[in-house]
Amino acid sequence: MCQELPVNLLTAVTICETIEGLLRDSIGPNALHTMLTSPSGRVVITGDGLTILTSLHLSHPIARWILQHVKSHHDVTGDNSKSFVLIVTELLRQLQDAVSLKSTSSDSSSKQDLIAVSQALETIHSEIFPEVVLPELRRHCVCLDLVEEKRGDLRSMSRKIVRTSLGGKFTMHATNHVAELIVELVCGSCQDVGNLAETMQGLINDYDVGCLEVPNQPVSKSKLLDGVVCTRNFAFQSDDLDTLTTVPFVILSCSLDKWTPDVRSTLAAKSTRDLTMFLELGTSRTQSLIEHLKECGVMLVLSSELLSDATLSFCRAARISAVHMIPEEELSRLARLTKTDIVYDSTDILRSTLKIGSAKFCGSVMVGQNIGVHLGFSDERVRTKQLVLCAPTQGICRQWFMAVLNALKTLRMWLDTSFVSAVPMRDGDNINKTSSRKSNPMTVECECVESLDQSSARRCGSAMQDTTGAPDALILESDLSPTNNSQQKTEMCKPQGICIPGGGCTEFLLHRILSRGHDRDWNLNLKDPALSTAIGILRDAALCIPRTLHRNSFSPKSRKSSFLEIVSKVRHCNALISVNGRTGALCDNSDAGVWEAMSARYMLWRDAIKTVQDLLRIDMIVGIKEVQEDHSNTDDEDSD
Amino acid sequence: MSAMSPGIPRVQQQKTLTTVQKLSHSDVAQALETFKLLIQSCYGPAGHLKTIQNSCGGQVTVTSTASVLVRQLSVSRPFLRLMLAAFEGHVASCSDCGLFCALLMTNLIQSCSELDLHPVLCIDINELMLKLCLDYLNSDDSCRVDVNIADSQTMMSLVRSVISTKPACGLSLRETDLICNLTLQAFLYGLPSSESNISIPSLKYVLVEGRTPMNSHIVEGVLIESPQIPPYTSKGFNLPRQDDGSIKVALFNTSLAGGGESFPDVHLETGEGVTVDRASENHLLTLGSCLVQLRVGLLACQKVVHPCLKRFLRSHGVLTIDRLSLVHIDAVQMVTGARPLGAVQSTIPEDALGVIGNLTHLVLYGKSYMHLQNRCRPVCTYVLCNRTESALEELKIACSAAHHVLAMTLSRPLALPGAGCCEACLAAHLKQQIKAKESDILDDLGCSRLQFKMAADNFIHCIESVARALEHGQNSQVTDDVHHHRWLLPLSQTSPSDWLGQCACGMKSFQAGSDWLLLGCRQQTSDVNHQSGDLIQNRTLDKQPKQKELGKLQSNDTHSPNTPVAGKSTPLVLDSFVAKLNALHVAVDTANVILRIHQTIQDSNS
Repeated sequence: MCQELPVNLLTAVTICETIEGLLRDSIGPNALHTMLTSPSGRVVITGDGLTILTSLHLSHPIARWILQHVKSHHDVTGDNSKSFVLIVTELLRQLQDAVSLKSTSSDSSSKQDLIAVSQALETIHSEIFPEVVLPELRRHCVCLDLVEEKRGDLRSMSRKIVRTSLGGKFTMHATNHVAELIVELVCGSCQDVGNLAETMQGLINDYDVGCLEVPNQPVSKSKLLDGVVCTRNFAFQSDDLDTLTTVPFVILSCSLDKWTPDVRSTLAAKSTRDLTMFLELGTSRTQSLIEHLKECGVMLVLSSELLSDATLSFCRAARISAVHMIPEEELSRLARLTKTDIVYDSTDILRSTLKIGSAKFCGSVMVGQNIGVHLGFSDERVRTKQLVLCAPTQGICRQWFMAVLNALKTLRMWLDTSFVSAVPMRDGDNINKTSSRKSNPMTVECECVESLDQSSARRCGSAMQDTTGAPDALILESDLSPTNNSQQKTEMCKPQGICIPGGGCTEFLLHRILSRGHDRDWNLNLKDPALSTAIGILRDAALCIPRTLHRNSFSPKSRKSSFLEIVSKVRHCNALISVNGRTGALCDNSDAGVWEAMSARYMLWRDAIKTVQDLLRIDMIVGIKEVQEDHSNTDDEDSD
Repeated sequence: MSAMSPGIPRVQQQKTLTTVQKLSHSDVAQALETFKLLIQSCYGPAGHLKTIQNSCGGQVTVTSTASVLVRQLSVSRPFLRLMLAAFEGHVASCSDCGLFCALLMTNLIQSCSELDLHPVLCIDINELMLKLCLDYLNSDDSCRVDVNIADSQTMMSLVRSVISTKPACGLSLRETDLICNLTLQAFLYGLPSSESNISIPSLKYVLVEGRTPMNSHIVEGVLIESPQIPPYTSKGFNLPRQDDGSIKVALFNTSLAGGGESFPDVHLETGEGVTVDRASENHLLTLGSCLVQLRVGLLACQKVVHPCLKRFLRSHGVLTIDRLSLVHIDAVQMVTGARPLGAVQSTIPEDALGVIGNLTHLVLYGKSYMHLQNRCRPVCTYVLCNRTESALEELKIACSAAHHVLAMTLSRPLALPGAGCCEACLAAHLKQQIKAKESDILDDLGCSRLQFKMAADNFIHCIESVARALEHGQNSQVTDDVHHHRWLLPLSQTSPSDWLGQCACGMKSFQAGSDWLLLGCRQQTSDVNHQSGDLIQNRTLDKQPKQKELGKLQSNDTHSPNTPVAGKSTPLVLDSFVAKLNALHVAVDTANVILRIHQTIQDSNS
């Protein structure tokens, strides 16, 4: 049994525009938020696109399908979910306009047109983007080598990227404070800058336990603690624990009281005394285990299980501090970081090969209104930090928690250079011809951030004065000449951080690249009307991001500061310019410290195009009805 | 199209119950106004009381305390729920300044939504003003005062400002003095004398209903209610004592009810007459013998003690107190210094035992208590009396809050002028700062001068409004241009010396030649002249009728003495520095979060 539901472009546009309407105000530094309330009374405030979309419980299959795409994009990049929806909607809207111009044509021919556009989008996705757009974008990005000498530059740039990621979600001072903490968390947890990407991945994987949420405190009280914090208080703390300079500890994931004989046994108690001894057996065993730990020098027991009163009593007698009921994830992380064994069977305590951990200090720490246990390490190999995130309410705390995770993902994208290695390099291709006009060949990783900042001020100034086509004054640009292609590619594959100014800068560039498309020899059949249409649609759609930023700004809506005015300026300007999301004015966002991960931006556009391309190919939703089982036979049998 | 989509297995036919709504200003305004009226009417020592009873006819609570209000209120609107959550969080962590926090938060949300500015701009300016406030309060030049813990007058002022602002306690002036005194005494008594890491023990309360607060007192040591001892019993406890007269105490936090542990996969075969019960009794009696041998006088147990062990111990003159529960175990541990024992063993380490100086039977207002005393350990019990159940509960909350405030002051020995003077100082400082830093700020914010002034003036007005809310139905409140404190004009126009003596908090005296400005009047900050670091009020105040009245008063000042008028020696009104700072923070942060909301999505799917 099935039900068919035709899908046309208008349906898709309507769905996307509805979703877009909910998200449009939440874009940029002046983003407004949405309050989500659950049936249980939980209140969450968010500006995160994916969270808003998920909370809508969309029922239309096309809407759910788009949501799936948004989710998979967001899971990787940690950002851009709203931009994704905006771009998809704008592409579809432009396409609808283009189709409606040909309204005289028949329905079947319009479908054929859409198929043709879909194929053209495929060409753009698989050829024009890697071969034309990416090299152009790379000319304008900043690449930083992950080398120790550039640790300062990396810190500075990561701070800017994090601020950009958090901007618009929270207030300025709170954002700056938390951004500092994130940078310190990332850089402080990394011993070798070359391994920054791995450190970042580790932080993302352990994020649930690496970050503690503390409601009922101002955000400014958020802090970083060196070492590890267990979210349970001491069940017993010896008086001298604070003064120790080395705290050997053992991690337990079992109860010390529970003991099971290897084989099923029978105990014969002939007298009451025997039975009394048997009753004491468990307690004596626990006592001996604790005494053994004492002999091994253990000063702290960390357990995921509940330690019985008896165990704690023996710990008190042996002056071994104890913490119990610690979440397993926290202990697993601690064990992994300190390379300590987790004891799953109490008899393993007696093993001579048991690896016990060692902390430099151990003490209690106030985490909001709760008390936790703080372990610090002197070992350079155990470089870890605990992020304590404070906020006035549980809901706001959750908002920060998610935002910091997304910021970490954004930083990971910054270090992701896999998209560069996917660029097909061909000797003597058209891209190189354009690039080789530059007389000052430089290496891609080239300049440090400071030099960029100085240069960009000049660049912006000159660009603003002369909007009639001043020569590109960029200092950071790659020379992709045919002779050094292989070297370039090798250098590209080195661990790097690649980023580009934010605030619609990528989109303005994209608009410019696609506008000039006809002037260039792209080795493509631009006479193909579908491809021309697709490029034109994409070129216009590229402006949807800066337009929304301008719309959400403080800018008064006068003719002088209208977006049309801005677009006309951009068309005649060769410099890198963006929209200041606050004021709505044109600016150089590299100066303002607004930077985004290049790979995330590139991936956003490609994913959005791919989504539209796939969407155009859907013509029907086939709904499968649930087949009602015929129970008549069963009833008969029952009655029989 | 080329290929048919495989389709989605099932088209979801059921409707999702999700409502998307744009947050309208009028919708918010009505709810906020109601909430504000509720909070504002409770604010300050002259605050009105609220009677709270749920629809099912439960217990009636009469209160004006923030922590009680927040617990009892149940609101349906999500943004109010969020405000309450923030308010509750602040009260939970600081116990004081809850209404200040709620009122400022409400003022900010209400007034910012009425401004014709982009919400984000308002948020940025609010945050900037908050930063200026915090920088000021954290600087040595601010109005804050250092608190010397040894100075009982200052400490008393802190306690008084908490307790005297709870009219639901129903205390007279004399009773307030006594309660404040006792609260301070109880706090100071609980301070350890020689330890480097000071930990402040929680205070134990014994609540007595039906007596006047004048019957309240402090008892050294711990009181454990013992209904099993008849109040008329005059016989004392004859317990084994040490040579120095002290009594040894063994403290167990595990059950002494017998019954051994069993092991899985172990089958038990016993001889005739050998039972587990018998064995466990034997086991307990061995423990009892050990206690007797160690000359233990008191066995205290958190859980149940087996009757056979009780009997055995009683026969040897050892007293048993069982079922102490978590409520008392900490207090007993504190007063005895014993190490809780968690295992039933035949031997007990002697160092695990604690001591008490004496154990007596105490009858308090017809109830029997066991009184554990140990002069070496600073533990006391606060016997709190009040006339009605509701007033007693309110008094307990007030005393706990005062105790918390004192503990916070110990961690950061600073206080702020109360009675609205701190708010007046903050407002004056902000006016001065935005004048001085305006150009820098405008560059950072990217807004026009007018936009900035609108939002900044609004923030200042909100702060001043909180100070003004302390007086209910009286609008004549002024601030001076020298100290920038708050002064209250009496309704009946008596001699100026009656009100010029001291400011509302009692810290500042009238200074001859001071100019006055109505507190909370919407004056443009540009009108404030900045001379020699002080704010001189612009004398063009005759535009408003109230200000005319003030001018009339000022003309009377010419007859007043030029020297400060010696006022009555009224105590200072001081607020906790930590609590006020946190309240300010939470109020502005939460208001900013709410101002940023533009739509709500209500999920009604079960």
